[in-house]
Amino acid sequence: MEASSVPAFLEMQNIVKMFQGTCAVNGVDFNCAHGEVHGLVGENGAGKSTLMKVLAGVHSPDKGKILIKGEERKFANYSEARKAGIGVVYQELSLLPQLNVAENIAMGVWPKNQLGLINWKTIKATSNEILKSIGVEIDPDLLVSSLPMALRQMVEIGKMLVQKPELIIFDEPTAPLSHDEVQVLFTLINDLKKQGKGIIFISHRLEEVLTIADRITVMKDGQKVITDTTSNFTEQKLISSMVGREISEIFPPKHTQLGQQRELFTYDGVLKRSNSMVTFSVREGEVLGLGGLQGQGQMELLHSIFGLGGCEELKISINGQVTPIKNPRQAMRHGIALVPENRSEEGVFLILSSLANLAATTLDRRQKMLFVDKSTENQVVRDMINRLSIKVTSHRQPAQLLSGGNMQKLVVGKWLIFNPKVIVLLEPTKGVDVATKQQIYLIIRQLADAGVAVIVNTSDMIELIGLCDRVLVMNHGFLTASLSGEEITEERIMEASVSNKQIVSSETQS
Amino acid sequence: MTEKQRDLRLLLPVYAIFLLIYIGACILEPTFFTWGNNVNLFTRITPLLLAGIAQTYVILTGGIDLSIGAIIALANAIAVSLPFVNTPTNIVLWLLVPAIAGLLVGLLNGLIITRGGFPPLIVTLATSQIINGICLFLLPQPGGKISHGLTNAVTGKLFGAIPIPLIILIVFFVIFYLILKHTSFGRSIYAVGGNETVALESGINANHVKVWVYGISGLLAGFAGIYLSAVMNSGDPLVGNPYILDSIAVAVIGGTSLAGGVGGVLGVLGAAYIYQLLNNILNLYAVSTFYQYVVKGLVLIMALAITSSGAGFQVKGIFRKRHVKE
Repeated sequence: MEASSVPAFLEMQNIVKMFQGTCAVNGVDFNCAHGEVHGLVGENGAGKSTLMKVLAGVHSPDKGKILIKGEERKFANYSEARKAGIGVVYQELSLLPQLNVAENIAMGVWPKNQLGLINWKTIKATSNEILKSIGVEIDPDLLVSSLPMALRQMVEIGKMLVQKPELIIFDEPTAPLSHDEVQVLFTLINDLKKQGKGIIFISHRLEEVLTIADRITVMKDGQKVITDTTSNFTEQKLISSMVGREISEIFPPKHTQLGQQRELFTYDGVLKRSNSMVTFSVREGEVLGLGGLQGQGQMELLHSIFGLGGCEELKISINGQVTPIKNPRQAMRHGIALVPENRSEEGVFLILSSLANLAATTLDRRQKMLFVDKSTENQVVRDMINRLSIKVTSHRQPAQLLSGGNMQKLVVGKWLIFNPKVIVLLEPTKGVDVATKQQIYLIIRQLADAGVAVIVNTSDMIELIGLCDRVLVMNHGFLTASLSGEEITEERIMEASVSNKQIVSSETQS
Repeated sequence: MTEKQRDLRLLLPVYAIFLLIYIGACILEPTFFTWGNNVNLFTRITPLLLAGIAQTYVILTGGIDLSIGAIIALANAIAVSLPFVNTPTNIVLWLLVPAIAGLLVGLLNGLIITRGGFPPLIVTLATSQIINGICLFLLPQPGGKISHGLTNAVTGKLFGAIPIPLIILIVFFVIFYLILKHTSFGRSIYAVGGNETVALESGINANHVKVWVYGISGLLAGFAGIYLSAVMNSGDPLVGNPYILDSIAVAVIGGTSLAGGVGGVLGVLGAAYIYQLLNNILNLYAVSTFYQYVVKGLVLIMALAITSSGAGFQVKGIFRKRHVKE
């Protein structure tokens, strides 16, 4: 991009945004011109989303300026940002699934006829017109809930284009899309670019960013690492600037002699989602990763291990013994633990103390007569707080006052006290800082070394590659690959995640 | 699936059950299928229909209104307490004053809920307690009288042939159907109930919509109260009680999801008919009151099972709501 005499359409200067004392965005400069695709990458929690929310008027910055066409602007809310020409396509689409396509696109703007009633004809015509302009035809009468994800996203894009924005933010738009659908989206983005719109493109898939973007900005820990034209980047360079160091420094060394370990856990069941048989096993001391695009049935599969449904004719054996698991209580009785994805909803009791949270899974083990033995409990909890270096003012501090990382440590900690044989972790490092991430990786490895079978589900590619001894890839409810050792590469994982042809009905242990 | 197909899936079971009961009744009891009995049905169904529409509007935004019964009683108490003589202007006032009282109580509900951010369940429960007190103050025991003019205006026949209850029923039904389906206010109700954040981001003033939805609910309950006063020709401070829960039942059987955002008034008519037909049949056969309650409860559960199996998401919606509450 030429440095310009005309100011770029968007210029963000020294943006700072704090949340309860932690700096989510720290002194970031960012700009985007007309007719440019600007890629924005970084790990989870690097501050990309916060920066974009500041731009979209959802958060107001604590410091810094936003200039639109060289003029300073302050957005009190999203509609002010929208009026200034900024449109956002959110990852979690902002559509009303129970209403039809046309009404979603026209939402909030209802043209009237002479009687003062809504003119549905105009609304449908607008919907057809705008969807045609982005190259899709969708019956305006269809309910959004009956459309596949890719088309819903087109409706979302149409809804945003009705406002005639000059700058469009795509916040991880490709996450739910298949390979072909991504190509359709890219064609559309290139069209919009030719029309002179500025585009900010956020994605976790580095390969995509390298394809579509003209320039790329890398963020890490709330700060900007680098902005440069795409031709100066390679995938390796992107990863190392995102993470700030080599992968080998972050992850503990992997298990070397897995082949000799016995199979501790085997799973055999018919996944409801794909109605197909899924079989896999985990060896003693193995860290098994489950990857794939989001929402391919990973959650159903892993939830069923903990007795939360999603699978039929389920046969789980532990140490070769078939064990019936119909609910979490039964699962726990057989030594299975689950660290859920949404810790504030499923993982911690927000208003209870750290002590109560850590003690929750093992209350009956410390029961003396009718009561819980408080002094043992205190001791056990204190030990765990020290072991995980959980930052609490006292063990009476309610969980909701802790940071995301410390909250996650509570969840992991309560299962460490439980002493599981099999532990399932869903997105264990989602929304936690880098130091805690490293600590969690270490704990996972320690568990495995102590002979626990560990199953990790993560959408973070680097985590799959760096942490896991073996990686299973899930695609539309089928397991499409089992990779181990040197086979675990981003390329192989992506290939198995998006391919349509090589869907196999079950994974066979090599 | 288009919106029409979805609505059809919600409505078919309601009207199928209605027809089944109606035809069954006609076969068992030939006197059932007489003009007189049908007019009687219109007369009885109207207050439940009004209360059902009121509740449907509120539930569509994701709320609930437990004060409908109390507002019906308030309108009734006001109607019998108005010291008017029987002139045409006064009849208009008789129609208006209780209705406006209902509207005001409804708006107050809406303001407390939106300004305070309180749960509708508790707020409307609280206001209904207050109103019950006011009703007892106005009308310590059942009694009072309504002017003949009002009774004739509401229960008589237009041109000596068309029963006025039928006209009232059709007019209210059509007006409130049109508002919901063809005005921006109506569509905003669906948006707010579907996802309040999305509605806000689309420039819809969600609080404004909610306040007026409770207002409309109060207004309709007021009209239901006036209608009941005219039919009963007296006052009773407890007259509204059955409508608190019956209105919710009728709205839900009519296809409206308790989670909000899905449903409408089209099913309410069928649901109200099912309710009234049951009463009618049970009375025709002189079934004792105990059994009447049991039969009504069982049929309700059956109707709910059948109507919600027509739309999987609705069942899910109800469960989700419960989950959140607990």
